[in-house]
Amino acid sequence: MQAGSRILLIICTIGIIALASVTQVWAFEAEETPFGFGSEGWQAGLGLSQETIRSLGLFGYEKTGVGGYLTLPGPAEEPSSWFAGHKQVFMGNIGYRLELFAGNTKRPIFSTFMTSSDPHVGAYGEVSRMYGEVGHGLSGTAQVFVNELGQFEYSISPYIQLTRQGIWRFSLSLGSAIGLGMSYAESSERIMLDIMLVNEGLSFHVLFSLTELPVKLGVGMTRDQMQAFVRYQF
Amino acid sequence: MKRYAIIFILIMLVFTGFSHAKGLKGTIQLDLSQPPQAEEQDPVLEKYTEIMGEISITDQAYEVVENIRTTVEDVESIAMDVEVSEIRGQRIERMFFHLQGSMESKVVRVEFKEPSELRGYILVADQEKMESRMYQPINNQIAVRGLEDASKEVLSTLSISDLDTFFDFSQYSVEVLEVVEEDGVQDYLLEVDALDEILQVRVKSDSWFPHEISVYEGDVFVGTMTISNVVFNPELDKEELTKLPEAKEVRM
Repeated sequence: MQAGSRILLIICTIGIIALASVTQVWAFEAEETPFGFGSEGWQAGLGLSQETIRSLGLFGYEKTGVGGYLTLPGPAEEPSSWFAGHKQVFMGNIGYRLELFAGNTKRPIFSTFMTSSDPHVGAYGEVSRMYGEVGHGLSGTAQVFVNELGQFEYSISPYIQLTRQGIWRFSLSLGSAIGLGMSYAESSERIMLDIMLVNEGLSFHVLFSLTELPVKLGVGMTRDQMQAFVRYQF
Repeated sequence: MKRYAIIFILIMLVFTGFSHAKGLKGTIQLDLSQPPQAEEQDPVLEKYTEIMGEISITDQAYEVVENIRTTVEDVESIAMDVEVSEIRGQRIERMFFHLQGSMESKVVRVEFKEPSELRGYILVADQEKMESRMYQPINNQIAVRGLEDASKEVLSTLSISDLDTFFDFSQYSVEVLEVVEEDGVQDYLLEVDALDEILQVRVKSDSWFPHEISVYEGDVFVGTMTISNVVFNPELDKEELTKLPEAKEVRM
């Protein structure tokens, strides 16, 4: 077994143990099977997520959850996986989120999964402040690759947010890579869009939720990869 | 927070109480085959009479309180602006919201304007559905919860000792501190002494609706609730009252 595969196996095992320990208390609330097609051919797998919501007085609540994906691009290819645990707190117009993750795909945007990364562990944090329809915030990601080189990557993204028929977010990305970003989530979150220009490379992700069916359609495109996928939620 | 909780409870009690009372009146059936029964008493009026019997109140204060009761009793719907100022250490915390309520629809709507931490929040409490819906600008979502759960949430902010004293009216005393006359309108300053807390309520004889309530803990001034732009019986459509920005709903 190659070193990369062993590391991936360890990460998957940690993720599965984390998810399994949670199931002793909770049942998974969202199970889905993603099918995708991209540069690495057909991909299929299983996604699980669980979130609990706790009220914090009249104006606040706390979300705690775990989630993850495991997908198989093909019999000869390595599985792709992503596992994360998160805590999100809203208190009035102030909110924060902390997420710890491990995987061998990039941090999913609308759960788009792309096999383009070495195994890594990392953390994502976000603080936001709204003033009614406008607001601002700061998000940051740091990750360490679990390989011989042990590279470290980070990014800090200040952003402004507007609520107009949905949530619009305009951000800067600073750190290991520099770029600009824009995202949109329609009011009922049926359509979600994310565009980023990082180091002269454009990435584009879109997710449609079908109201009549428990199905989501998504497309993700980066400078060197493109993937379309369907997620069936059961 | 405790005072905001008390205000929330009072709003819920007043609106749900009166709407229950009106509901009861509307469902009385006359059965002429039976001998006449003793007149069914309005439960809210009954509670009011009970409380008034427990507290120590001067004749002048009783007259003012009766006028307030008569005014509130006839209200079918109401709209008002409410400002709550509270002194916390060196800071003054301000909360400003617009409140609308309809007895017929059994709906209360509160739109928060200040402070900026709550600006844009809209609370709709629907007694028929027994649920409250809170629009949250921070994540453009609507938090839906049962009214019973919301009440429990509020009550959890009060300690047991608070509850013991809050509903024990026998230790309350009410008197009129001063009457100021301006352009033929009397402005009464009513003092409600509830042992650990003193409420000073200002009410004018042209509306008989409180427009300022100041709270003292002993001799220490704690804060004020100012009520302005009060409109009695405005036309409030249930659809308008319950309308929230389009957003994803999250059940708590």
